[in-house]
Amino acid sequence: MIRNFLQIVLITLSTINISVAIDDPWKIISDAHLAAKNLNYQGIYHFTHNKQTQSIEVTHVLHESDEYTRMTLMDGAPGEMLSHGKNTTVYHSSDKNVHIKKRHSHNLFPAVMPDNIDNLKNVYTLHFGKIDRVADRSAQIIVLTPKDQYRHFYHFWVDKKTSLPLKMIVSDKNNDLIEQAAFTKLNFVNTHGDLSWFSPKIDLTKDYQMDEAVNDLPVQKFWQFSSIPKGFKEVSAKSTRNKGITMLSHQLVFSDGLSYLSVFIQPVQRGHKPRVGNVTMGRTQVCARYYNGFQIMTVGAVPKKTCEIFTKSISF
Amino acid sequence: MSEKLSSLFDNEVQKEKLSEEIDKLSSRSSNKNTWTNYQVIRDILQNNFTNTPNLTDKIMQAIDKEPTQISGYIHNNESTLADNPYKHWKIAASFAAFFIIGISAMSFTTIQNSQTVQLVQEDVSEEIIARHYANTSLNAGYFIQANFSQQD
Repeated sequence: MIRNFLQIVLITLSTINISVAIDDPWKIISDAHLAAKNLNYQGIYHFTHNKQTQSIEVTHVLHESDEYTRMTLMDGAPGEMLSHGKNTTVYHSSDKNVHIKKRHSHNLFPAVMPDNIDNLKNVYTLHFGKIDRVADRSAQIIVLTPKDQYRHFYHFWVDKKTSLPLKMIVSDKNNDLIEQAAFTKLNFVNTHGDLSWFSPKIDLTKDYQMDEAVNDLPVQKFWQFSSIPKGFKEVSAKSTRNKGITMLSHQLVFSDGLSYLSVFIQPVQRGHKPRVGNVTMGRTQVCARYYNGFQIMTVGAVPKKTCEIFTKSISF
Repeated sequence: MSEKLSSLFDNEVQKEKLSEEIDKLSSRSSNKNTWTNYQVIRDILQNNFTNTPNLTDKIMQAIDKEPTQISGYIHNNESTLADNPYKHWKIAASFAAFFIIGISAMSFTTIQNSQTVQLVQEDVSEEIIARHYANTSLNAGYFIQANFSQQD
């Protein structure tokens, strides 16, 4: 009797589990976002962009609800990023100095998934692929296929056990590679509250210089966009002073949660001929337009059509 | 030597030896740089870093908040002037702003569409690409190196 009852309970529970998975396939994206934020891990991944590959060592620890991340460039000029919550600092070595700069935030692999996935549901279709192996771990392939022509394809290999993204490929509609990141080595660690690793490598032969951040000034919007592709939202706006004139330059960043582009609005000075048209630099699209005394320039690893539509639709 | 300097920095030197250690360390000029570097790194990690106050920047920031006319549109950068206790300073800053705008207007001009030039790769400054990727990159390499490429 009890055995029959347990069997019924187990069958019911497994049915609920299956139906949850089927009802909400997007949960895998939310889980991947949370895994990158909440897990303690250390590893090395390769990043390929514009046919160049670089190795990066990453350590991420959640300590007393604060996130600590350290990323170190393993090839080329030495460089590091240390991030504690919203405090992000980068260290970059040149021949004589180590330059230090503050940054506002970061969306670096493996923490590439947005916290709010509702927007992604509107503009991408989610497909599940086969099970693959990355960094000696079993991974579920998922593909985000754009519903329109304004964004690229995103392929993720998500760790079966923890949901941490282990690999990412961004490709265009012709299946050409835009960028790729993949762990080659990954360990889940327990630091027991030890944060001694969270400090930059110090090179005593060089001088450390804090680079003054460009002063971000209050943004006074005098522009509007007549039409922008669905799903893209303004995520940041900055104004900075130009040398020689008091008129300000502006940078607006738009994103759909995965794709990013910047629109620069800069006053044209005497003697400078404004640029028009577009150019492709590696996988980065740049579109230019002259409008009412300002040079409009859009930059981003997005399809050409997206770059053009942002550039054309601004007015003031 | 750097180990001793590090101990001194971390308050690990015994009180009675403190004066002697400081004398020894300060006799070498190279230690001064190391000491400064430690301070910069510590302050940044603790989020306490402040540079020498720059008066020019502060004045220019005040001017930037003043109403500025761009391309026929007036930008009222402050919503309530009356609430601001520094309004007399702001009026003075306005005069300065108008003076500077006058000068800058000489270097700012309206251009006909026929005077535009087709964009080529060389026209796109490294700075603009770096500024984009410093905010948006998914790649730690781009993120760390962005905005540093033009320095020494």
